[in-house]
Amino acid sequence: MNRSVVGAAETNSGAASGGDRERASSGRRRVSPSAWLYGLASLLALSIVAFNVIRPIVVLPRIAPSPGFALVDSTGQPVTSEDRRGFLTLYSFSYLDCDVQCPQSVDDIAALRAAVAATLPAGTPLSFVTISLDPENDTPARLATAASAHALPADAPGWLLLTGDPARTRATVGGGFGVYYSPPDLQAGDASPRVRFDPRYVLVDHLGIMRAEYRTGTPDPALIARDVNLLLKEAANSNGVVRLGYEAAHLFLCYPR
Amino acid sequence: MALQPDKTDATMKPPRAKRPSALLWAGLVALLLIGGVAVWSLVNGRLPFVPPQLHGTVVQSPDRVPDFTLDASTGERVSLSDLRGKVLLVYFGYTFCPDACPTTLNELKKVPAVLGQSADDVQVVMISVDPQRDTPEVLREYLAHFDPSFLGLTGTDEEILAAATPLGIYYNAHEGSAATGYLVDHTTSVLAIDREGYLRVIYSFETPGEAIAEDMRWLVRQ
Repeated sequence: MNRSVVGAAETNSGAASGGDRERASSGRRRVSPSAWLYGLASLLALSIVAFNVIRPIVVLPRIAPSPGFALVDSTGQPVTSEDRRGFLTLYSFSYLDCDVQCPQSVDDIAALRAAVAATLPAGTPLSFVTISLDPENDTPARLATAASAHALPADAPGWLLLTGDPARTRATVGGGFGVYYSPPDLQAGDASPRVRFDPRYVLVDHLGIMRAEYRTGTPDPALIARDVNLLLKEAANSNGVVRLGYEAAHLFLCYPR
Repeated sequence: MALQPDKTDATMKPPRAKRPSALLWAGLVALLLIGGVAVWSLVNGRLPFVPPQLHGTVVQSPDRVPDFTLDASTGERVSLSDLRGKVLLVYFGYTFCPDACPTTLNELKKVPAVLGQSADDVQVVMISVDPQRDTPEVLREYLAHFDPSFLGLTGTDEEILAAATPLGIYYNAHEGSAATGYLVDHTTSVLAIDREGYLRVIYSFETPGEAIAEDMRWLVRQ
């Protein structure tokens, strides 16, 4: 669809330049109605090109639906993907015993949360959700201890640590978020990590759509704050005429650079 | 907006023009075209060549929906990729579902009726989130109450989980009453997958069937 739209824009501008040439040849006599039309057509084409170049509205791509899941939090209460509807969520993946060559430890996630909290205004509707990659070991009680060790003020972004059935965790993290990890190795000695995985943060909007992926264990907090602000701005402008501008930005792939 | 200056200009006829020049003819043709577009827009309530305002959450995924294979109510194994070429309306539910599923299927029932001739290009698919009770036969019988053209899919829990998760659907069985047996909580969205296998729109619960049908009219032409 996007390709065809870009193609249409190109043919438009092609027709416009032809129109300009004809107008130039006939311009000396007087401005004929057809010249007006060509002028208007080229103006329309120009404004489409200008929208693409100036990019007055920048949006994050609507990548895919955020995976469905049913897990439990550190109090043992069930948490599902539907519970996250209406809030911005930054998903991350780790496990408590992740210490040897860990690409993204629970402490790293807590540090990022503190940094992002310092960048964003208090009360921003953003939550961190960390899904355990070692659900057999990471019981709700152990997760609760970890969470309380990194407590932040109540108006800072919240933090949910989730665990649950290993098969469901695999479907959510591997199948849904596309983060592949080795199953927990129960025989592993001290020298090798129990779970091998790639670090990943995933930003999901209030409608449950994945909007940004950060394939690093140490993303720039300012970058995350920028993206959160882009989503908040888009959500605030999701009604009326402004929405058309945002839809145009999606159509023309006006993504942040 | 585009029409206004033309009209004013058309009223000031060039005094010297005795024979209409080729340029003027081109202008008239263009004016007719613009008029046609204006009439079409008024009749259809939107601009041509521009995607309409859809009635759900739009997704622009660069990747196709991950393929899955399940047992169909027709008795054979069916993959998502086998259904390519039709626009799919995918709903996750189960036959013992007391409220949400019959409501949604009743709305989806309206889609083929509204579409008329192009109804063959749209396939409604219900994927069971309760494989224990929903066999292909049970699904076929259940869906026939709504529309015999609806396709039911079921499989092992693992297969269904693999299909549901990437589409943003969760499900979780829990205790019900003695009358209902156990119940299965699940996401109640309806997903529109285009002919090429890309997820395009997510409809929230209780989106009217007429609104979905209107979007389908545009999607089948893609």
